[in-house]
Amino acid sequence: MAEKKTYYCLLLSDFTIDNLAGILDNDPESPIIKCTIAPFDSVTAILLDNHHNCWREKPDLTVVWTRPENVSNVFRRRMNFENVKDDDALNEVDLFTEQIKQGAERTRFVIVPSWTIPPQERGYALLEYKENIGLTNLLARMNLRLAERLKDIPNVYVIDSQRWVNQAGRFACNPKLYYMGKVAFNNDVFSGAAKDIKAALTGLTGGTRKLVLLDLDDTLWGGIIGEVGTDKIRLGGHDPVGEAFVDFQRRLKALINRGILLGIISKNEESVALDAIRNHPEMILRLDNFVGWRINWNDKAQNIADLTAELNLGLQSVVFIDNSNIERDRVREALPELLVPEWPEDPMLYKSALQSLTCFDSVTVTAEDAKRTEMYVAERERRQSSQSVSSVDDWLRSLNMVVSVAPLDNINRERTLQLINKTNQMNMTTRRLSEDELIQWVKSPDHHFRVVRVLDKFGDTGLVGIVSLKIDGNTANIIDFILSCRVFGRKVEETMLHIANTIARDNGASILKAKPIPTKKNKPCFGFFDRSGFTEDGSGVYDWSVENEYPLPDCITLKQEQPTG
Amino acid sequence: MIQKQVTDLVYTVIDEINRQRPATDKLVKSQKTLLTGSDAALDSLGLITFILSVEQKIQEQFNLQISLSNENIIQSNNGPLRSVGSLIKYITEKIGE
Repeated sequence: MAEKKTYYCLLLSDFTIDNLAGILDNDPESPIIKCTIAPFDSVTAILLDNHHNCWREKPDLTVVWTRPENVSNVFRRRMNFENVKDDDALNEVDLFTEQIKQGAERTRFVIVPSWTIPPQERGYALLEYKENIGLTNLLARMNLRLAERLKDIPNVYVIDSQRWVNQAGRFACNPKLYYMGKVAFNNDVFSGAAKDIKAALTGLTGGTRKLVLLDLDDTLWGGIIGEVGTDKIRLGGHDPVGEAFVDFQRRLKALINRGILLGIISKNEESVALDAIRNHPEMILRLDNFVGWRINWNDKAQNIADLTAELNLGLQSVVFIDNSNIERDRVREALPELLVPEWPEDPMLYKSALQSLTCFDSVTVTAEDAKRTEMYVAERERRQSSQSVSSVDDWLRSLNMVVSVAPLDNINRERTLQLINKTNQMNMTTRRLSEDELIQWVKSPDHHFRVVRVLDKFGDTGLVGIVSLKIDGNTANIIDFILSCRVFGRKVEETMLHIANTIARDNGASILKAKPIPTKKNKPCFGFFDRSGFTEDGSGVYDWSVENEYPLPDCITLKQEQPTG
Repeated sequence: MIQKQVTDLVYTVIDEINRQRPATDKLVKSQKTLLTGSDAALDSLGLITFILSVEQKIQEQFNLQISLSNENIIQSNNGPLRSVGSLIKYITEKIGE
């Protein structure tokens, strides 16, 4: 088995943070993290010192965790009930954010836990939300100011730490721990922090889960539909369990707005189950909300593998939710890349179990996310339409595909980053980039970067491809060749090579080279290059002589776009 | 009965502490595991975290405040914190008082 990548994490704090480091260092689950603890209470000095030892090995992630009274003297005075102005504290927050900005230049990502006050601190109680009086009011404003000042720094994320404190309860900030060890939080807080930091790193490095596959009986509704019939399943009505199933479905439907896809894996008669989904008056999820289903009596693991392949997704993108622990165990054993969360027995806890999953944490939310299910449903219609034509080429021609090509701009940058950091299968080098790294890379005159959108008669699949080149004398090296699984096998891959060859020719290159870097997940990319017509020289490098035009597939119309911002 | 509950409580805290330790250096859930002294498995921060977690769990489970973190107990060579077994015995007796 390939060794898991290790991410280096620098912990900067104004309290003893060794316990968090211990949890992060010794958690065997991916992502694997190795922590360095910065010298105690030297946050500002280290953020401002470019040459400090802590930065010698550029950390992948830096966590800057401070307490508000150490960042703001005004806040400390407010804790002593002195008469101080909120604005003066906010000015101190501004100074601190400037320090974080400097530190952010020396690390790939920065996570800044929001400030909290200990649960036992009552402050002014009744007056806590009064401006210029309450600690709570000031703390909320300081946290908002922190987020506001850092919002334009693309690799910095302010993360909500109040949740960790709330979950830890009354012992979250044990004064004895602080007096005896300068430890500001108990282990429950650090466990919450470790969970969120790992989830954030998973999201930042492209590991966000994209597809939820759901069982039906006793998962989406109560009861066995094949036995009780559509009108007797527990769903909605004046029934706490029925209400809980409806609420669970609502929460699943909300995931669609975040770009998460839903599918069904159920042992049932398909006609009976589909009839309930179409016609039960209390169903929240309808067929258009599902990108696909396998409802039959076959092995669920096999059904999951088939459906995931049909959707061109990797198994590492999938979450499987089933109330049966036998089915969960079977799927876990057969498909270890899947996430199969333990699931509560009580349906009234389903929604909260779903809400607590960290696997959907992502670093961007784009307009395309909300449309993703729609796009996959259109893809299902495309597949159905392919069954009515005699050949693949006829089918592709019938789609009336338009591929539009554009340089990177302010409008498409967020979606581009999402594609770079989330695409695994058709990704030639799996180069992950932060926003800042991408902007810097594109600036070089020898670098050429294009994004690709695909439209057809069924709709707009959105920004689905990236091709970038580095010109080095007479050689044009393809650096990124990334294509969303939504449009695999529709000649968009060939169109991107046509685009790459045109860029190479326009910039005086004579050879176009591609060197795919193998990962566990990008075999489809190698398969494509093997049949692309490029010559492979035995060392894993694929060549094309630029003087020969790489043909544009006849089912594609190519359109050049101008940058929009 | 109380001793079994206290043993489970202390072992839960050992599980918690072990999450912070490498696979090769886990605390053993045994009465014989030494907590203090030159041959103990925990460093000073580990010991503080451990005993305060035990205090917290006692308060949550038995609604009792038993202080294990006072100087007399920590500095005593053969006191309640010498081993997991002596700690369980001490807490059990305190709860029974």
